[in-house]
Amino acid sequence: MKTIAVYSMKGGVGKTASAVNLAYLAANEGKNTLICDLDPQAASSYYFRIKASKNFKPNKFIKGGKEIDKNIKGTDYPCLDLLPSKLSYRNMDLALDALKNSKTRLRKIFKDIKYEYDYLFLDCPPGISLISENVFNASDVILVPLIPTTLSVRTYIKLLKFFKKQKMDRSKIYPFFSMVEKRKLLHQETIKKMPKKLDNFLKAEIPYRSDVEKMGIHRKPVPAFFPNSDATKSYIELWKELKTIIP
Amino acid sequence: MESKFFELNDSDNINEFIEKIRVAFTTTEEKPKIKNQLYFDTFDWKLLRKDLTLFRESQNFYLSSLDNKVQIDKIEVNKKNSLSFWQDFPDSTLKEKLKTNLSIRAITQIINLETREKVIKILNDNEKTVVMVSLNKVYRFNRSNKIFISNEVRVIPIRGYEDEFAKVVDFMPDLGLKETKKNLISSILEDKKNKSGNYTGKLNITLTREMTATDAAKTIFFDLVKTVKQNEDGIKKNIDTEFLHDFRVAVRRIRSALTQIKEVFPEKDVKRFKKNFAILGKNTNRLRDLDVYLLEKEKYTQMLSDDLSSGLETVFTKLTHERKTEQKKLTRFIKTEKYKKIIINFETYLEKTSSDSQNAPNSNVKILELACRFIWKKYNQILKKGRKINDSTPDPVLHELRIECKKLRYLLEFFSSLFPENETSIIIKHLKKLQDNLGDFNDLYVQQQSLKEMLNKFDTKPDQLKQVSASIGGLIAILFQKQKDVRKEFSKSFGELDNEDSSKLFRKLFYIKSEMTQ
Repeated sequence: MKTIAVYSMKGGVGKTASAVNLAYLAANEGKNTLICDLDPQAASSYYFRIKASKNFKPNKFIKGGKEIDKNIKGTDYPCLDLLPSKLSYRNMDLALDALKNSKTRLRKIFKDIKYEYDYLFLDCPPGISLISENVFNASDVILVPLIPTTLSVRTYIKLLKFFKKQKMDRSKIYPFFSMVEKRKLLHQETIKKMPKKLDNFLKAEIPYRSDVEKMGIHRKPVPAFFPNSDATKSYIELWKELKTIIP
Repeated sequence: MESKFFELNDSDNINEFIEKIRVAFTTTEEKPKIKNQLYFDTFDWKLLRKDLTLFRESQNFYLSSLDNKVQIDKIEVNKKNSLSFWQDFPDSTLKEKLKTNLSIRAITQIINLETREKVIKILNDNEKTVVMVSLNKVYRFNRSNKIFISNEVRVIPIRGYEDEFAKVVDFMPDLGLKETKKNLISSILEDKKNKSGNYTGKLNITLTREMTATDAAKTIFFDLVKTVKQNEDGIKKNIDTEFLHDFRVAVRRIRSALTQIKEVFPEKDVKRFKKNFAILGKNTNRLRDLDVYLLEKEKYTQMLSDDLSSGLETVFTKLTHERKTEQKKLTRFIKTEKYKKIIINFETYLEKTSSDSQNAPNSNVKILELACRFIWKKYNQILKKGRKINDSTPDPVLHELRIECKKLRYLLEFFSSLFPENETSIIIKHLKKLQDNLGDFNDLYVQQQSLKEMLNKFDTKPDQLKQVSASIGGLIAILFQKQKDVRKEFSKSFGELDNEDSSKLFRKLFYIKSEMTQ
């Protein structure tokens, strides 16, 4: 099982959309795929119309094993399952903090299911907290959606510094441009400059499209309701590129 | 959780069925789909025997498990041309799985199905699909005719919605549907397998202890002749090398049985059939040799360094050409009257012969007694011969022992149904280790000899010849060294057969009984 985290310190950059659409494309190729919703906003769970059961709380989640197995739900699509989250996930850091191996727990949580899935996509909450550090340790690839603005870039550089300080492997971080609006001058300029300055920058870009926002209305991945749209095409390009970098 | 399957035989009821589901649950429906699926397997059903199915649907090949339709793998194939061997597939996990399961056998098309599928999704309050009900109207193509097979209803669970699944399953009997143990595809394939003779390549007979030797021998021979005939078509169509291999093994078993099941048929008849089946053996020798070389191509190439292995390419191109000619020659032979007569005459002879006719001393003897006598005798001959072998024994003695072991193996296989299966299988396991050792030893010897012969006969341009000679010389040296190593293992593998456990088992199964009857 290869673990791909979609992470960003900033919110509203297209994390969930990327995780959902990429996971859908992976499953569509016949690969057993699991999305793990880690965000208390539970947006990816919402997109798939899945609700977590009442008893499923952070303390159950961090137990791993059977608790995970019991709570995984099949989506409406073949080969694609989801582990839903809920609002109580906001207490995840508290639950993790009580553990000895508080920074590496996440890897162990998925130990039992690692032979069942080819890909695990982690839809991460924004911020940089204990759960984020767990994500960094558990992932093979960390995808970071970046809106081409100065602020986004600044936050991204902070992330790199954090990795350096913690002596973590920066080479698994792969940024890509998200919510790109080509008519905005600032976006154009940022895109022109950025990739040269930073390593690992992916070529695929996700444009800003209302189709992506419509995921909330259709409650489906974009390729499932607009298979020929620009948005779908860009996610396909991103998935193709992602496959070449997954170790 | 696995899908459940139901049969809906009355086609008129389909609409009524759908209507009742619509009333009972919140549903959404997909547009009906027409799927065309071509199913593949090897001649000896290697995939089906492991509960696997391989099928092609438009540009994709799917490998899935038979019982619960779990999709194991999928690969897109662009080429229109047919894929026969695992090597022909694009690199993928599916290819790797085919490699393990197919080995050197080719896949051929088993059946062509058309399925009209309608999926009804059952939704919960969030409009999330929690169970799927799939209605399948399945047709089979027979050349250009489309034949209706059956209607199947499949209730497909979705992970995490077990209660909803149980509810839908419980509802099915109310609609007059009967659950079936097997899904439709597996019944169709299973049926096809049985109708086509359920080929395994192994001896598939059941003898009883009370049978006369004549009846038992007839049973054995009929099965072997059947195997010979079953493989003719695959040889003619040049599907894969195993058809010829199995054909030859069956012929060899017939010859061995004619010699070893002594004095059951009159001597003059046995002599005639032995001669005839030797002709079949002889006519297939060269093609089999070529098959073996070509199958070893990769192994040979890897044995040599890159600069030496280039000479091999020339050799293998030549062998491939020769194989083509030989294959055509053998196909022509199988079509001749001479060949057909050999088979038919033997079959007619077997049909006509009964144990009443007192034609030979053992005709009316109970087969159990004969089997014990033959096996016990052969076993002791092997022990006697094998114990004399030491490091200075000349190679031909080992070759003789190999042949004796093969005879014993065949006897055990012919008669295994007379004895408890678990015990004969232990004996065969012990014997197999020894046979493998002697077999490797012999193969390495034969390969060296044929390489030498090839070198003598090889006719090509002088500069090429140099390269070819170097390659073949290199190979011979490696094979010779390997042969020596294999020989060192002999005493250990002989010990597998010559020990207290084996000897006790042989005595228990074959000795006392032969004592009683003598």
